[in-house]
Amino acid sequence: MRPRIKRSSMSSDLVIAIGLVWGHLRARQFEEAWQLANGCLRVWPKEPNLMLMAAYAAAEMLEPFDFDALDEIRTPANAEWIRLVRRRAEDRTAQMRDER
Amino acid sequence: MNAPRLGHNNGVNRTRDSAELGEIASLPESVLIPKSRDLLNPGEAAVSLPPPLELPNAVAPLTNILGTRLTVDNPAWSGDPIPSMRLLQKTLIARSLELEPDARGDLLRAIELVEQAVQMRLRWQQMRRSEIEMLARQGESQPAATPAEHEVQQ
Repeated sequence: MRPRIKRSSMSSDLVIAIGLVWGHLRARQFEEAWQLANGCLRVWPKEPNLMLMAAYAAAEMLEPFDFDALDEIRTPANAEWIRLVRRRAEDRTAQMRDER
Repeated sequence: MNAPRLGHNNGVNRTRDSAELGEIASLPESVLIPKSRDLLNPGEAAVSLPPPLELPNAVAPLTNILGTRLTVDNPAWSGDPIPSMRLLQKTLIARSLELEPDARGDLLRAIELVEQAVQMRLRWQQMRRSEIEMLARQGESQPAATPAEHEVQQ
């Protein structure tokens, strides 16, 4: 399957930013992923790749995140991921409530 | 009997002096001992080349969505990504200067994280240079390349 998102115009700093955030997620470093994605979203607001990763990190970290904003970047390819991330955020929030 | 154990060698020379061990430890081969991701310190884990096949991981669907070019094949993991990382830092700094000082926190933290990634790669490049120099000394004395363009700015 070919990658759906193919933008040769993407600048090298954005490519690196996405790579580093993904690397943190891959290493399950959700706090670092969240912080880096969050900073980069200040530069590239609504960048879909950063948004998808920020949402996942936010769900794990129980950080406030506007999950509704994901509706704007929803595609057939990422719809399932968005659904999983939202459910994860709800589960984690419920988990925290129970622990208290 | 307290017979000295010198000379008792099971085919592996384990009685190296510490200086020699220090040199060995600086080789990437000995640093890159495969170990579980959970055993890596955060810095190591962040810059580790993500193995193509690993235990089931939750990021796999995300990797498919983003595509290999942005994930496993991202230039962050190969070649010399430091110039792009420095560019990323500049971009983040430029953006932070447009914001009110109170609103710069997110960007400053992001700049810091990119700096950690840069430092890990500089250290790794240094280790590689040490190795090349050592190999060069073992053979003929060839001067190793000294890429000096990646100095820490700030």
